Parts: sequence; C-alpha cells; structure tokens
Amino acid sequence: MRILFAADQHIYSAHALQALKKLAENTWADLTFVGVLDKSQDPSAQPGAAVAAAHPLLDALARYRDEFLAQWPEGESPYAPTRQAHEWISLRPGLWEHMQVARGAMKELKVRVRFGQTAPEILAAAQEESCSLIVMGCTGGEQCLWQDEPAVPQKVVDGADVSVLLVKEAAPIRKLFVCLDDSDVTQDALEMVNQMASITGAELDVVGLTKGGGIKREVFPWLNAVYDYYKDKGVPANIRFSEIDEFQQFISSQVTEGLLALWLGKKSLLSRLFQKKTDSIGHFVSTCRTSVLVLR
Amino acid sequence: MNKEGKTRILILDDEPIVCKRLKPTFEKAGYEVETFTDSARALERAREQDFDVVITDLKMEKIDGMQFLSEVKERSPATEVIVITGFATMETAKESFQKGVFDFVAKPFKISEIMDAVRRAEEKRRAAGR
Repeated sequence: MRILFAADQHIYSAHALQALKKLAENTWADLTFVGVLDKSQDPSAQPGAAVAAAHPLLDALARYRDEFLAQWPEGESPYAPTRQAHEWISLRPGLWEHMQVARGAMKELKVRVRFGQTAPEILAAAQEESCSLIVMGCTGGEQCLWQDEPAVPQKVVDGADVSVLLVKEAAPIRKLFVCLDDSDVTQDALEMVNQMASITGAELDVVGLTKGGGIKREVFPWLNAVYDYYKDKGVPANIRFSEIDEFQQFISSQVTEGLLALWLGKKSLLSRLFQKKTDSIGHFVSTCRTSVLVLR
Repeated sequence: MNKEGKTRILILDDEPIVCKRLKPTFEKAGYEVETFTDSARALERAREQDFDVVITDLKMEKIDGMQFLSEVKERSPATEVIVITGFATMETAKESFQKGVFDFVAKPFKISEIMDAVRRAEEKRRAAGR
C-alpha cells in the first residue's frame, strides 16, 4: 500500500496525521506527505528566489514528519532515515547536484511541496506515486472544508480514482459502517475495509443499499458473498439494509460516530445517485458527521 | 532463474483474483510465474523447485503464510520473499522481517508497487552474485 497524506498547516491536518500514524504503524505503507503552494511562490519560476521559507505550510510539513518519525521506539522504525544514498537533485533549471540523501531503512517517507492549484496537485501526486489511499483532514461537523481553500476536500473526493480517507475528528474509531450495493465491489475496496477493521478493531456494519421496493431477493446473493468474505477472514460483521432514496436520512440518524465507508465505484448506486442530483459526492460527504472513507 | 535467464516467481494467495491479476502482468514483463491458491500445494512445489522470488499472502487455511515463508527461507535462503497481506499489523510486519522477508506490502496495492518490490529483490540477488 502507498499512502498520500495531503496536508496544510491547520489543526484538522494534525488530526489526520494521528489517523495516518495508526495506519502506517500497522501497514508499513510507503508514504508521501504533500503540501501545495500557489504557483507564484515557485522559486524555479523566479531564478535566485528561495521558496517562501517562512511559509507556515513548510514548517507544518517538517513538523508532521518529525512527529511521525518520533512515534517509533529507537531502532524500530521502518521509516528511520538510515539508508544513505547519492542522488541527482535539481537546484534550478540547468543546474543539478549529486547529493547525499538519507532514505528510509525499509520504507519510504517522502515530504514534498508542489506548486499550483491545490486539489489538482494532490490528485496528480497520488497518481504519480501510485497511491492506493489519500488521507486528509478537514473541518468537522456538517462541513468538510480546508481553511484557506474551502472546497479542496470535496474536489479531491470528486476527482480521485483511489480511496480517500477524510478525517473529521480525532476520536478513536469503534464502529465501521460500510455501505455497499450489488455493483461489483472491487477487491481493492474490500481489502481497504479489511485493513481498517483490523487496525481499529472496530465493529463492522455492512449496509446493503437497495433500490425500489425494500429488501429484494436479488440483494441477498452479493450481500451474502460479502458477509461470507468477512466471516472467512475472521472479521465479524452485522448486516443491515437501507433504501438508496432514504440513504441521507439513514446517515443522519444512524451514523453519528465511527467511520462511514462508502463504495463509490463508477457503477455503484451512490455514484449514479450523485450523477442525477446537483450535489456532488464531495458535497454529500462533507455533510456526514463522522470521518468518511470513500472506497474506489 | 530458469534456463532462459528468466526470474522465477511463485505467487501464493488463497484469493484467486489476486493470482489472476498478478500472473499476466508479471509474465508480460518477462518473468516465469507459477501461482497457487492452496498453500499445501505451493509448499510441495517450493520443495521441488527453487524460486528466485516468492510472493505470499499471510492469512490462509492449512499452512499459513508465516509457516510457508519460514519453510521457503530454510530450504532456499537465497530466495527473496515478499509478503502481501490484507490484515497488516505491526506484529506481523516485525515478525515477517525477523523471518527474513525482503518486503512487506499491505493490500490494496497497485501493480507497480509489487513490480517495484520484485525488481528491487532481483537487484539484491544480482548484487549478491545470484
């Protein structure tokens, strides 16, 4: 697994770092921390200029790295920068230096800043690093915003073709609601839920989404297959159902704590629902009170 | 390696979809690949034939991945083992490396990630003169 941690300098990113620490501690995933600054601050566009050294984002990224590395006891971190290597580093267009760098002992921890529009740069980073998961924080309650660019989390959720974990709160996860339908859930999505259930020890509620007429016989085969999949893996799961048209109400009344995981593959009921409505997936996700894992 | 100089890979995962996904990609990249969903059969094969790289799941019935990788490493210490798991924990990661695995990859992963791991394993073998 490779994880992209998309961060800014505000408190919700620090909360998301706690979730990332727990994930990384167990999965030993390769990590990329990324922050994005406006293109006008790119020093390669202004020869001789340094990156806005005082920009709080750069301090925040360095702090997140230090805090992440400090969680491991001495000698036990797979990310400890103990592997020495020489690499060609571009100092400016037309000038490179062969520098000694320290890489992770067993796993990569890269800390990068990109220049451009925030959401597109985050999505581009996830693709370039072949990430399976984007982790980011956002404001809590019934909004999901970034302080300096409010729409960033929604744009990332709308545009990502990998799973996205939106961390809204710092509370431990004790319940995991996984909302699925019969539209060929991917192996990647099931495996992501496995990892979350293993890492958190959370109770798993599989919510079967149905369309028209309540619980139908056709619903059962695929839902039974999902239930059996988790049972065979030793992950106890409860099953419940929700009509897609009542889904928003279900979320408001039933999902008040824990983690909500939504299967949003291209042919899923939820994806089709959002294609018809004016609300985007990102906007819907922003209204959820808990942290949300968008599964793709 | 086989007679044609191709790196030999054994892939073991009790979920057929994993083997179905990995085999054609590795074969297209020029590797010789054998896949198994049954750990007992995979172990039999590993006893008959040395593989350059073994990719194995951990949580399986009959012989679990830890036992499988221990046996592979004991029989053929030069074989590089990559663990893939949908139930990654710190304890299994540590135990895997203590048993001599080359890499520990939590699922889900992109194909490029596992291919990178295999290439690095090959580099290590080449550097060791194998």
